[in-house]
Amino acid sequence: MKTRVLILFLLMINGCAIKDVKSWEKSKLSKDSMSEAGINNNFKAFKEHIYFSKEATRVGNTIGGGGCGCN
Amino acid sequence: MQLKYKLSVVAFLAANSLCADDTVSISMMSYNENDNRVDIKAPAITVNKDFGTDYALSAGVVYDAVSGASPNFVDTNSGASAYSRGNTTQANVKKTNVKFEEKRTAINAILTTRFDNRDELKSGFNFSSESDYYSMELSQDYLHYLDDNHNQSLSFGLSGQTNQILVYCKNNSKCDTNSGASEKFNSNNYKASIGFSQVIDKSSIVNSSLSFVNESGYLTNPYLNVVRNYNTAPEVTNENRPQKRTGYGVFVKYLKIFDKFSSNISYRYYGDNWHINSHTIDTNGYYEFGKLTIGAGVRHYKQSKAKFYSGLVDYFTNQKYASSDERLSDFDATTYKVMVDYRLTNSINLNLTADYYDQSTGLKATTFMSGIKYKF
Repeated sequence: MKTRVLILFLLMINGCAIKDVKSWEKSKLSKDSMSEAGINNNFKAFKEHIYFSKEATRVGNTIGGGGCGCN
Repeated sequence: MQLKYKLSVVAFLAANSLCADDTVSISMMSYNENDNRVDIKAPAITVNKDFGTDYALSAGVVYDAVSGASPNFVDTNSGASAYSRGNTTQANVKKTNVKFEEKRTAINAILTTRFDNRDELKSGFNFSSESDYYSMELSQDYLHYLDDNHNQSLSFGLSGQTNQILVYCKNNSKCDTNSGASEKFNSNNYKASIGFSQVIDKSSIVNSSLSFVNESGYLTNPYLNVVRNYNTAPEVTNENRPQKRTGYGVFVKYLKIFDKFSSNISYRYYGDNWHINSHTIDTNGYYEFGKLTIGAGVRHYKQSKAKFYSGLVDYFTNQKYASSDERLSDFDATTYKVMVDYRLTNSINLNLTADYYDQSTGLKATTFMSGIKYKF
């Protein structure tokens, strides 16, 4: 049983293998819908201000890293 | 010679394709709470401008007009304002919506500097001003790519914010009440974060970050009250919060795009020394119909209460720290979101977003945001 679980886990890891994506292969990744703020990103600051005013969480949703590395 | 010319043209086109569009965005945001509580109208303008391939500036201004009322304990014998405080009787203690009005102007600017290896430094400035509150923040974010194809990156962020709070002088012996002066208090906060981003394949990305915050100074809300000694000698007083708060957050987000459909899901954990812990799950999906992109999303938030919070009228006696602010209570909140982006022309996009926020404390709010983005 343990062996089957291990094989299944290894298959999953392999399915998620990280590819070396070239710059010219990133057209989909550079779309607004794949950016941190999604489409309508001009409203992000206002929405965050609302959550800041109504909830007690003070930190944690900082953008991590550089996204698609399109620039 | 011809090959050299062609290579130059390709290099020029490639450099331009790397630049983001220069844009001007004009937005109007409207926020309304149930029971005639808070109402906000907030027009905003943001400009993004690239200066060559190495510098980019983003700057914006937002103006908030806030009116409405917030739930608060008051001594009805001395009125129904946030300053209706003092020794009273049980019959005169009421929790009611106290009216207020406020106007806020906020400006922000971020200068992005790109180095030869395309690492980025973002230098930010934020300032906001209200009649009783001033805030200024400086921030630095350094982004370092770990590989030649920019598929892996680390980011390091630091920010410092200083706030000045003006507290109205009624019943405050430290002020000259005859002149209507206010007493000044200060608070500061520092934030640090480290982020990691990984392009997994041609259609998916993972972003993650670890953040830390330290707040100190006057963290009490000058308008919110608590009731002490309700069963013996009732008194309505200003709440009192600790002067230090440290917290940290963990954030991870997965983004995936198929042909015309893209989606993302994120999770955030937050914990601090006020014993507030929160979990946030946020997921969004978008579909492209030619010039039209529509989106929908759900965000679920859950937090535990602060160690010095109680919403009960008969809870506090002589505790040093006490607050009945519902925002420090334990609650769940769900936001339902719809978004529309329409490409009117190659240089003009129209944006529309509507959110419905439902908090288990009874607070419900709708937010409508409309905007136009012009590329130049």
